[in-house]
Order: sequence, then C-alpha cells, then structure tokens
Amino acid sequence: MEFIKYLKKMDYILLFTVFSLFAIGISAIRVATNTENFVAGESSTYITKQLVSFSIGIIAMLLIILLDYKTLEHYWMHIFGFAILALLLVYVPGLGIVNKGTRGWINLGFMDLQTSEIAKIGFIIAFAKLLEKRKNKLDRITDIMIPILFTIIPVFFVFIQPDLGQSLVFIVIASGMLFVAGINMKYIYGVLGAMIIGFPIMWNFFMQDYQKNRILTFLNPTLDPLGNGYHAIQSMMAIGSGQIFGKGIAAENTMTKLNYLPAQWTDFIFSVISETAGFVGATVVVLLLGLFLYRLLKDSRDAKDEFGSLIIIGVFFMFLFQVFENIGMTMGIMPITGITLPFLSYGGSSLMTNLIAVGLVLNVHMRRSHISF
Amino acid sequence: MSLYHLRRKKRLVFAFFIFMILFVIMAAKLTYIQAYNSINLTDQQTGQLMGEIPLTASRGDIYDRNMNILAKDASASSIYARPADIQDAEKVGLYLSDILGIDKTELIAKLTDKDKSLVLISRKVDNDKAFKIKDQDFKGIEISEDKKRYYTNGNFASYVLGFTGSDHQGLYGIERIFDEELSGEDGVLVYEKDGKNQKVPSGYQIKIQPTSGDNVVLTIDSVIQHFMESAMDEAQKTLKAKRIIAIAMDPKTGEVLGMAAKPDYNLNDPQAISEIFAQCMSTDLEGLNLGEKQLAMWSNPAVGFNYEPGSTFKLITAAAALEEGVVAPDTAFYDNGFILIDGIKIRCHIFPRAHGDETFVEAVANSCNPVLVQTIMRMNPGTFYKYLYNFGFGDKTKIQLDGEQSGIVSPNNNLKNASFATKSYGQGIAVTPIQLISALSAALNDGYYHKPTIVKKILTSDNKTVIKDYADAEASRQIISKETSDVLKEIMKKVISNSAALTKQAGEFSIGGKTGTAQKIIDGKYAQGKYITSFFGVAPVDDPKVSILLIVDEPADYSPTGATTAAPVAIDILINSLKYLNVPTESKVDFGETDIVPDLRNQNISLAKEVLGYLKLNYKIIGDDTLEHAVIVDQSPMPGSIIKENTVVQLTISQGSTSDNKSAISVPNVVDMSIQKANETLQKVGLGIQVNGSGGISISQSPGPGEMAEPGTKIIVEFKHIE
Repeated sequence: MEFIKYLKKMDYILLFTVFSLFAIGISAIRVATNTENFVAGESSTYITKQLVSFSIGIIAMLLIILLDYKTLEHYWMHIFGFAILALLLVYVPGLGIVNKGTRGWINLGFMDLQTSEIAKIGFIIAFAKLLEKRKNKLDRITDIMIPILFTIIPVFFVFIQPDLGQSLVFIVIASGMLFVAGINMKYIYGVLGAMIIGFPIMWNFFMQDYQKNRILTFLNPTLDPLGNGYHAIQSMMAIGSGQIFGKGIAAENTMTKLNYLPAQWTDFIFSVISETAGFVGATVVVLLLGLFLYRLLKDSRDAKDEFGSLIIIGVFFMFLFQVFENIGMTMGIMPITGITLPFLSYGGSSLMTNLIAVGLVLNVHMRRSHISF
Repeated sequence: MSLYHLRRKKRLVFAFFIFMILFVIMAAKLTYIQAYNSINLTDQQTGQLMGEIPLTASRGDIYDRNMNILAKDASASSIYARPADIQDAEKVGLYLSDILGIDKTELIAKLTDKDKSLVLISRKVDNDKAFKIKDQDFKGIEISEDKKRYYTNGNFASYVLGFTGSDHQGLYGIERIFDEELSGEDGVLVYEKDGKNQKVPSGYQIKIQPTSGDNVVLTIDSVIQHFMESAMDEAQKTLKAKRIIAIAMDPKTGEVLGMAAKPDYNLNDPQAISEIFAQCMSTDLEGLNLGEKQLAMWSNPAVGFNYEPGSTFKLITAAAALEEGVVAPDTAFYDNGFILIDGIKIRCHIFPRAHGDETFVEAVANSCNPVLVQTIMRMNPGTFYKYLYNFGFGDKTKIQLDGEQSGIVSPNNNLKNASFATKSYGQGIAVTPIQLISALSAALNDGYYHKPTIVKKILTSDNKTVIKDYADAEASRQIISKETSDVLKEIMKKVISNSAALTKQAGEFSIGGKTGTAQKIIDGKYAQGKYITSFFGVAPVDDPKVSILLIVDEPADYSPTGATTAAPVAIDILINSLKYLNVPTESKVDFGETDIVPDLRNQNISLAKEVLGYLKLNYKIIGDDTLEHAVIVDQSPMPGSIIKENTVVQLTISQGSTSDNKSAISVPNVVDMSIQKANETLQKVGLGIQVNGSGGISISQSPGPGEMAEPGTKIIVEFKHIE
C-alpha cells in the first residue's frame, strides 16, 4: 500500500508536539475556567467544546493528508477565490456574526467559525503556487506588484472587519513567503527604510492621541496602570508570581482563580500556565513551541518541490507570528491584540485551522520522495 | 542545483535565524520575569488582592462633672464609589446629589474619575439616608460604617466643647486639645478581592476592630453652665452688647464650673454663622471672608480675649499692698478727686466730685482711683510686678483650652511713672478673662492659687477606669496670706452693700464682688463711648463656693458701669447656682445620694409635686398651674439623667386638650420616648403625630418643645433604634 509507505514517512515529532501542546492547553483551560465567580459559563462546556473541535480538526487533518497536495496546485485560483468568498460570507445577513465589534464570524449552527482562519490556509496554498510560478520574476518592481496585489485583497477584507491582528498575520505570512521565495533584497531594505522614515511622520501627522497612548503604554505599561497598561501589568504579575515551580492547580488566591486576567482561557492562557506551573512549565511550553517551529522549517527544507516548501513556509510564519505575538504580549514585549496561542488557547476555529495547517505540512512532508531538480 | 534554489536555501537559513532571535528574546524575558523579578511581582500580586475598608473608631464621650453627656458619637455611614463599576454616572450622580446635597457636577466628576479605584463621596451620612442609597442597589457604590458627632444641645458650652472636622478630628476646644485621648484608634477590614474588585466570598477576611476613644469628664456643671447661658442670652438682648463673656469657677480648686460667650455658634452646624453673631460682631467681621469670619467665631474669648480689666484689677493692687504692709485696712487716705503723677492728672471716676476722707478698705470698695495710685506708689515696681507674675498675669494659665492668650504686661522698667500708676486700677495692662478669674479666686481662697482646670478626669471608654485625674494635679501655691485674703473679702462685701440695688438683688445670700468699667482701646487710642464693663463676684463670701467673672463688651448705653450692666447678670447666675448647690446655710440638709430624674411629662401637676416631694427634689414651674387639666409638657433636666437631689427640676405646663380654649398649644417635649408614649403625650394636649423612622426611641421633634402649634397639628417625631 502506497499510503502505508507514506505513513512511515510522517513527521511524528511534529505530531507529538501538537498533541503535547493540546494536552497542556486543555488542562490550562480547565484551570482558567474553573475559578471563583466565573461568569462566562460552565468550565465543562469549554472542555467539551475544545475536545469536539480537536476531534473535528484531527479528522480534517487526516482528510487533508489523504489528498496529495500536488492536486491542489491545479486549483490554486479556485482556492484563492474560495478564501476571499469565505471572508465575504460574514456580510451575509443572518449568517455573519459580530463579536466585540469585529464582523469576523459565521454561524454554523453548532459553532461560530472565524472565516479569516480558514482563509489563511487557502491564501497560503494559493500564494505558494503563485510564487512558484513566478519564482524567477521577483526582481523587477512590476513583477513584485502582482504578489502584492494578491496579498492586499484578503488583507483589506480582514482589515475592514475590522481585525487588525488577523490582517497582520496575513501580511506576515505573505512577507515571509515572499522572502523565502527569493524576493530581491532591495525591496526588503526598501520596506524597512520606509518604516523607519515613515514612523515619525505617521506619529506626528496621522496618528490619533489614543493610538499614540496605546503605543506608549505598550512600551511602558506603568504609565497607565489602570487603563491601557492594566492587562499587561496583571499578566506579568501572574507570570512572575508563578516563580520557578508555579503555584499548582489547587492553590487559592491565584490571579487566575480570582479572574484578574482578561480572557484567560484564550488570549492569556500562557499567563495561566506560567502562574500555575511556574518557570518550569512555561519553559516546557516554549520549548515545545520552538521544536514545533523548528520542525516546520526543517520540513520546508525537505519538501520535494517549490510549492510544498512555500506552503510550509507560509504555515511557519503564520505560527511564528502567533506564538511570538501571543507570548510576547503576556510578557509585555508586544502590544496586546486578540491573537491566540496555537493549540493551547481555547477557540474552535483557530484550533481546527491550526490542525488543518499541520495536516498540510504533514502532507507535503510525507510526499517528499526526492525528485532531483 | 539552480541559482534560485540556492537562494531559497539561504533564505531558509535566514528565516531560521529570525526564528532563533525571537526565541531568545522570549526566553530571556521569561527568565527575567519568572526568575529575576518574581519576588517583586509576587509581592505586587498579593498586595493587589487586598481590599481595605476603614472602620472609624468611636470617639470618646465628653461629660460634665456629674456625668451628663455633652458630646457623643452616633452611628453614621460613609459613602464610597468605585468609578470603574459605575454604570450610569449621570443617574447615580443625580440621585446621590439629591439625597446628600452635594454639587452634582462635582459628584459626577468623582464618579467618572477612572484613575482612582475608590473615591470617597461623603462621610458622616445619616444612616437613614445611607439606607435609602443602599436600597437603590447601585453597582459600584459602597457604604461603610462611620461615626457622627452629636452635641446634646447645639449651642451649649460651644466654646468649651469645640467640634470635629470631616475626618472626625477635633478642631476646637476640648475636642481639639484632647483629640488624642478622644479619637481612639481606627480599625480596618481587610478582605480578599478579585479581578472585578469584588469581595471573594470564600476569601480570607481580617477585621481589626477599632478601639474606642477615652471619655473626658469636664469640671463644667451643666446646670450652672445652663444658668450662665440663659442669663447671658437674656442680657445680650437687653444690654445690646457686642459680646458677653463669663466664667464661673470653684475658687477652692480652680475648677471651671461654667464658661460661655454670647453670641456663640451651633456645634451641630459649626460652619454656619448665625444671624445674631453676624449682627453683634459686625464691626469685627467687616471685610473678612467666610473662612476668616468662621475663625473669628470659633475662637474662645474666655481664654483668648485680651482686655484692660479696669477696676476689678484694684483687688490685685490691694492684695499686693496689704501683703507688703505698705497699707493697712484702716490706713487713712484723702481723695480730692484727682492726683497728679508726672504732671498727668489722674481723675477719680466721680470727678469733679471727690471721696474725701476714707480708709483703705473704703477706698477700694469705692473704687477710688487716686487712693489706688497713692497705694501703688508706696511699692517698688519690682515688688508689684512680683505679685503680677505670681497671680499669673502676663503668662498663659495653661488651662486645657485652645487659643489662649497671655495678656499684655509691659516689662518692668523700674520707673514710678504714670504708666506704672495706672496699672493700680487696671489700665495699661491687659488680661484674659481666665487669668483674672484665676487670680481673683486665689485672692479669695486664703491666697492659694490653683491653676485653672476644665477637665476633671479621663476615663476609659467604658467609664470604669480612671486614666488620668486632674484634681490637684498641680499643687497650689500661696501668694498672699489668709489675713490679706480676709480683708479682700471684706472689701468685696462692701462693694455689694454700698449699692442698694445689688444688696437687694443678693437678698439673703452672702455675695461679694467688684465691678469694673474700662474704656476700650481701639487702634491704640481710648475709644469714646465704647466700654468694657465687668463684674467679679463670689459667694458665699466667707466660704467661697462659686466665683464668677462676667464681661460685657460694648454695652449699648452711653455711659455704662459694671454695677448696672455686668453685676446684675452675674449675681443672678450666682444666686441660681447657690440655690442649685443648696448653699443657704440655715436650712442645710445633706443629700449625699443621687437619683434618677423621673419622667414627669404627660402627668398632671399635683402628681408631679407629690413625686418630687417624695424624692426631695426642688422644682420650678413655668406656666399657670392653676388651670384645669394642666399637663406637664416639658421638663429639664430630661428624665433618666442622674443628678443630685437638690437639683431644680423645671416643669413647663400647658392646658390639656379638653379645655375649650382653641388657641395655640405649647408643644410638649416627646424626645426619648417610644412611639406609643409620644403619641399618647401628644394626644393628651390635642396634637397629632407623624412618625419618621422605623421605631425605637425618639431623637428629635419638629416643632420643638415649647413652640406653639395649632390644635391638631401633626408633630414630626424622628425615631431611631439605639444600640
């Protein structure tokens, strides 16, 4: 059986990190929702929903693995179309859902799906194919315009939802893939230069006071300890007070138990883990995430073709950004956004998307039988 | 391998480096927070879990010498807000400003001040108001226990007692001087709070109970104080004076029995400047802002008013001269109406007439200036100054009251000049009322000077243990001999017997005194037509029980004298006090015991007389007791107070409702009664009742006792549960 042969080649280390992270995540969600005066529902519901999402995600992942990724490259335009369509679905009356001011979900009856998550996967596949096709046309400015336009479309639709964090993820994915695909370095330097020059101009002429305040308090949370800096300070206190070995699950009077952390079962799950399991636990999580990301890079290098390699790179940058942004914000080195920690945070859409993305990576990796270039 | 492929491999390595850098940053920060900075952050974390609510300590009570309560703490509430939890600041603000009487915009600014986690809205809020606020169940509004100071009778002894500020701290008078003793120690409720600032039900809770303050027992006798204040209020009206100041003292101990100044202020509303105060003191208050006016109103003139004593001071000169032997009681003098010193003509007050031949005792009783000048000229200035200082002039008496002045005694320059001569009759020297009464009391007390005191003792909050006793805290000193003291008593008796009016007023009581009239100094010059008249009195002269100094500042008469203005008022107070102290020596019965005053309100007069007779209590009836159906509507002291059996119970009577007379009814006193009793009492005289509060004991009524009301009027009575 050809498929058995493929299974033997599967990246089990990657799979192991995913399962470990999920196991840690589900325990942390239990701790984060089983608190005094918990107002957002029943702890058990969270656990059940997360387990159901995980199961669906695993099934989706298996289905993805079965299908050779090479067949996808024929439909890359369609996939891109579907991704954009998914982003537009949230505007269908009765289907689209607004949550915390962001129109980013559709109601599937049994769950709310964040369509930008699914669109990310579609975008990665389509963009990988686009870059593969144009791999030798990444030097001239006119050549560059096509992938940039290609990126701007989904970024625009996510941005107007408005979901700044998610549109940043798209930009990071696209930039990372462009970079690895071999874009001329002068454009990289150009963008960096433009940012350095542009920032003071933006600051002085275009930014509103509240935006400036947000940046200032991000840089120094103690400037506004009860307002913008509040969550950052609370999160750092939670992490710090975990000390080396953590307070344990049974401890009373923890920041988690007393609900000091905002959305502690999703955005601030890392703070919960750090407080409960201390430096030891936090290090385990960070190392697992590091190993996971490292495996992605390795798998990308091992891919048999350009298309597969770029898919994995897209997935890599997607996770890299999410991990660094999420853990960074809990420790006050990144601004606070709604980006979740992969496999650990509570949330069906992102968990399923992440598992599908892992499925794509496994798919590419399994079928790496070398074709010499 | 294509060139492109090579470039991609390089880029992958580069991506790996980016990944590593980010990874190291993350790891470094994690180590910093969880290892390096963890102890600091742990402290912060445990710190923010604690919420604190202050528990105000009960301030000690202030009692008079017979343990009647003068100032007391009552339970009240503090209102706090958590701006972060306030949902509709506009609505909450409107409600609170309405009920608490606070400016609305100011209040809303507080409620929306997100920089603070907890803001104080108001303290000392009456509990019934607090309950109303609580009933509204506003989110983010918290109510905690507080204390409010109540003074049993608003204006009563206001200058002595003083009052407290918004933080329950003593600001004036005894409240300020004994703030440390009275204030006790505030407690605190520490509790665990969660991320939404709510108390954690299962969390720890530590309550440090507040320690009640100590109680202060004054030497003031409420009854004498009351006699003084009512006589002074009356005199204020008839004399149209700017101000009247009086102190009563037990000359044998230096204990102040009463101290008052009129006009005064209401301790239960100390910020308000009364109309009468503003009117009487208008010359002093001119051009001052509200704060300065209040300061002027709150300062106690009995210890802080420097004035030229005038003739009352002659007793001091006489004491010094007699003690030094430069004169004898029967030394003969001749007064021709004036005397020349340094070319300055000092006149007698009866100039151009003259006293002619007189003995020293007669001369002092006659208040003859030229003789006093001759007397002082026989002494070395150093000798005279020795007596001034020994009697306590030029220095604070250190009585336990604030704002005391030292008087003004110009330094001794050893010259027997005019300014030295005038001191003999109390000019060119300024004293405070407390200095003068202490000095003159000493002169009468066989020459023994006691430091004046207004505090008898400090008790623990349960009144069981004496913490500090002020009686004889400082040994007395003898300034003059008993013989000299006896001569001074002789002089003081003569002052009264010289005046037909005062002799008549004194009646059977043995009263001595000395009058004083001094022209006021305004802006360094003697002001035409503005006088300070005064009277120092003592009774009984041979065994002094009460001495009194009463000062009338600017009586309205064109040419007032101490004998016509101050003396009658002071003697009136003396006589009332003597009766109260059961002094007439002839029919002296010793009632050692004390008893509780019965509640005589709502009784008919004959029964009341019987009861009082049985209890051997004296009484005084106000109103016509010959009327049919006469009922007692008010009494003083109030029932339940523990007083001596020789106290006079004052009964106010009024006609009952059965009378055909439909005119206005005098409202009975229904304070300290249950709802049922108050209702019965009011019904009996033909009035209705409107009950405020949920039961307990009545604490106030409107209209007040003694006011007139139409039959059938509903009297609003406030009831409160007393813990």
